[in-house]
Amino acid sequence: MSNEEKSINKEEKQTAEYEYKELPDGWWHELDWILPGREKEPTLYELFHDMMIGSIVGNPMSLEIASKMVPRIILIEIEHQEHKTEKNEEQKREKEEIEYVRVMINPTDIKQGIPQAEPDLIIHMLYYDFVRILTGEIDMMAPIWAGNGWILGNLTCGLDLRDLLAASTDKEAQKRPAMWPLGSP
Amino acid sequence: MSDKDRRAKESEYTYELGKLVEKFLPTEKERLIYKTMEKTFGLHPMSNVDPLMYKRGGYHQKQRKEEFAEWGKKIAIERGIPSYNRAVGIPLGQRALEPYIISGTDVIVDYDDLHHVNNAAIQQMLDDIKRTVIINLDMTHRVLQVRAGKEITPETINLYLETVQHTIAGGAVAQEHMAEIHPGLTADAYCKIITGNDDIIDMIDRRFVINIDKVGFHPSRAALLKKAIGDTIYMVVRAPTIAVRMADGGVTYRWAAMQSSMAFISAYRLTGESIISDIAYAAKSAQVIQIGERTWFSRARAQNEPGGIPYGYYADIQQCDDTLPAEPYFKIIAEDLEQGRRYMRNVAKAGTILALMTELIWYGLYMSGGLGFSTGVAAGAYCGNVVEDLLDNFAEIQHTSISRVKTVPPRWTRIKFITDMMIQAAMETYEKYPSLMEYHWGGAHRISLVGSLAGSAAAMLTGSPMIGQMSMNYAIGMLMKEGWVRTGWAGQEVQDHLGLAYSCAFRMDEGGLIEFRGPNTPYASYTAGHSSGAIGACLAAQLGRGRAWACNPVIKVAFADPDLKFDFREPRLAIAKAALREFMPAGERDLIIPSH
Amino acid sequence: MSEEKKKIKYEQQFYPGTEKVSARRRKLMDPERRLVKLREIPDDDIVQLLGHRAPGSLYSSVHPPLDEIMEPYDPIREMVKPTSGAQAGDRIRFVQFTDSFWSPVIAPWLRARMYFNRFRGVDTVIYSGRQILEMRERDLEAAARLLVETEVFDPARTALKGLTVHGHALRLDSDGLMFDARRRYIYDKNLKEVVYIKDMHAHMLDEPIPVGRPLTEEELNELDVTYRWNLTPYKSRTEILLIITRATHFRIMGGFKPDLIKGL
Repeated sequence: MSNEEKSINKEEKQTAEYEYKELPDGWWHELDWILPGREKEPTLYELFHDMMIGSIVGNPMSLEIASKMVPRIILIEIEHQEHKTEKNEEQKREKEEIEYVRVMINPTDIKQGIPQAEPDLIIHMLYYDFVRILTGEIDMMAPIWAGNGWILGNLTCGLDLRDLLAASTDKEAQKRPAMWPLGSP
Repeated sequence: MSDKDRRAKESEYTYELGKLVEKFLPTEKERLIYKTMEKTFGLHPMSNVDPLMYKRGGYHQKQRKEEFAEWGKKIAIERGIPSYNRAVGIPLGQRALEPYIISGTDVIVDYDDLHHVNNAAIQQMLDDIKRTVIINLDMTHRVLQVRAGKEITPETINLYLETVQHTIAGGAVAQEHMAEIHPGLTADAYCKIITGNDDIIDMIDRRFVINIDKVGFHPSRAALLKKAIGDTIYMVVRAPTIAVRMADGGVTYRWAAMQSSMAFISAYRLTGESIISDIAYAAKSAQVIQIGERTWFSRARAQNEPGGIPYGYYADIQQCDDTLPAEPYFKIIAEDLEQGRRYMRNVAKAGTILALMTELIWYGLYMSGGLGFSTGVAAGAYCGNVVEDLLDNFAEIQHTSISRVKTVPPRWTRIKFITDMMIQAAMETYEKYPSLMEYHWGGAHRISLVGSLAGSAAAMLTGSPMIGQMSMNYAIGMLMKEGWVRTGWAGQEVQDHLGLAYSCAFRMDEGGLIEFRGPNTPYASYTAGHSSGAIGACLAAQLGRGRAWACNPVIKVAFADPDLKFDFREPRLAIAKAALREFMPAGERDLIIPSH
Repeated sequence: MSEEKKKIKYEQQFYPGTEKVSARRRKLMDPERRLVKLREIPDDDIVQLLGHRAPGSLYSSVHPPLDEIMEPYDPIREMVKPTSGAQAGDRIRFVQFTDSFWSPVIAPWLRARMYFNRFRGVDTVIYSGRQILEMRERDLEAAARLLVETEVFDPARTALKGLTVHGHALRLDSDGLMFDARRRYIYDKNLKEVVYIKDMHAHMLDEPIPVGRPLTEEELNELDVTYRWNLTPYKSRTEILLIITRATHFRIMGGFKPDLIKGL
């Protein structure tokens, strides 16, 4: 499939009705930016970490957007669920019920666990939904409107994150509302 | 120093947000609020110092107040008892008595011109609502056909309608030697038909019809209204303004019943038999739609008074949304930002009527006796372009977050985040604009505005007035309260704490369907400032669902009548005209009093 | 396997949040925490500012001292120790403050919470432009001393206004003071202090009463109890938002049917 066809399909998928789905076994091997050595399904921390290095840092558009943002702390709470493809007990990862990932923007930083300072934004989501957001398959707001997650706190920061992720997946960022321009606190 | 000490902490990455104001000043200057506040106060609207405070010349800074002072002197001399007198009380005008710009217009008025006793358009709006009652003619026609053996034909209906225009204005038809009313005093009294049946409309004299297809509704709305109303015939009766001014709203349905019965007697040549009581019963009780119910004992008002009008009826009385297509709002805002903005602007315009009727008239006149405080609370809804600016921006943020999804479910937990975003942005606007803070100088102004914004925006996205109610209560009683530790007067957010618990309540002393609640609901009488938000939620929910009315399609059509004195479609223009003393109300007594 | 819930001793937390505004709110609400004294105002001056009695005069009574009243046995009366004002039979008088919207050191709802936690025998009503505190007269004077001498009073942006309170939302005047239609206080440029020339009821004082210098903008930023977009943005206060989200959820669900929130 050509790159053009891939991006058209992605566009179609994004505007289609959102539906929760689990990704097939080995899905992470399809990603361009996943680091080698990820034999088991990555935690969100590992995934975000790889994306940061492999996609965001090397992307001039993402860097430009990230540089305009004011410092933010985002706490991502990910619900992991046992999924049907894990048949072998050994394959099942020891996943915590909730995985916490602390992301800082400007300076860019990721850490496992709960942040020391109060986060600006908390995003609570299901694992596969967030993976699909990172890969650009669905919009960040789709699972939230569907009730499969919630978002709380500084939503300007949410807009910033959304723009950053759009840039990293080579998508055009949505025009920012006048009251919340890029870089505004 | 150990490695741990050298490592940077998250909290060390701070930044001076205040300095970013300079960077984003060009963006702020594009805002409607910036331009209006600059025009209103004549100074930098983001500065929190007023260098001319105490130095503006007191009440002399306002022409209207000087006029009042002169009249006070004149009256004192004429009658020998003092009247308005600036020598008593505090010296007014030490702060800026700023001009008020009517939103959506270039008209600048004095604050005093917006007082309900000084503004003829506001009075006429109240009178037009009070003097309206709607009678269904089906039962009467049935009685005439079955019991009196009369034929009901287009000719007889037209004769009846011509006769009722005469009786409603105070003309006699059945008895000799009746005292009649000068028609010049009741020129605003008339009756018109509403029906959803095109054939009936074709048969009736068009002067006596409110034709749903021709009064300016968007075709999609007109179709829905006609379908809902169906083949039945309603008659909208406008009693004379002078009658409701002499008595009260309770006279309207009695006037209508009496005069429509007399017209039936005359047109169908009836005698004083028992059929008449059936006709009168139909007009007074069985098939009458009052605009407002009687209020509870300690409020003690008759029918058709503002306190007894349900929120859903208020939402239908305003006509600002007539020209919008009947499409669910979330579809509109997901696809077309400009059209979405149009929806928001119409809600902002409608807020004029909602705020005036509930805050200014019900609380400010009926409950408080004419004090000039609630003038400002209501003025926050239609002056200064504040609501327009904020709703415009809310439309943008909704477009951004909805444009790639297909549904907006009516679930509080899912809509809450966008309420947070919008209301916190509104709070930040107040913080950034000290001039706006001064403009909305009372807590009641701000909670009324914030509540209306939250309720309308949430209800419009979800189509649920209950979600709108929750959003309004949460925005005031939780969000605003904890942010500023300041709400409105005397714990004005009591109604929000109760409202949250009662939002899903259907017991009569607690609530009911949001559309059927009103200022008459017990917990709504503890504090003010919330009714316009609740009505806004009903109206916005209607737009959210893509319907043509909030509660009653007949009420919706009844107030689309172009012959009404007050323009329910462009309320701000009517009020601006009245402030400029260019609005001619009905019910004036010039014909029977000496010229003055 | 679920863990048994550990029973922990209840400790009042007062207010959520980790940054300085929340810390300020906690400090003001916690009766164990001492408020920092910023100025010394003589007792007689406080009495004059309140304007309820002349300095040195006796307190007016509305009933004889409680010790002299024979009343039937009431277990509640036995449990509640009367305040000194109640014991003496003082009348109830008031003090009323207005707090400017601009970086206030205290604000109406926080006043109420503080009054209930720190004082006994209070009756308070919370408005936006004013906050009234009614107590027995001698208790009131003791409370007023705390409210005027400590960090909860900024001479420029907090005012004693018994009537005509308009001004909390207005811009400041050219001296940086909150608007007062009754002109009770001015900024004395020689003393560099705010001076009250009228008492709380706007009656002229025989001698002006200085109440200290206005706090600087930096000091006010540290003492501000409200969240400001440019200092401590409210939208980033996730802990507070979590608490009020929970409260809202329970209120809605519990108001509809209490069983829905049982055990949550």
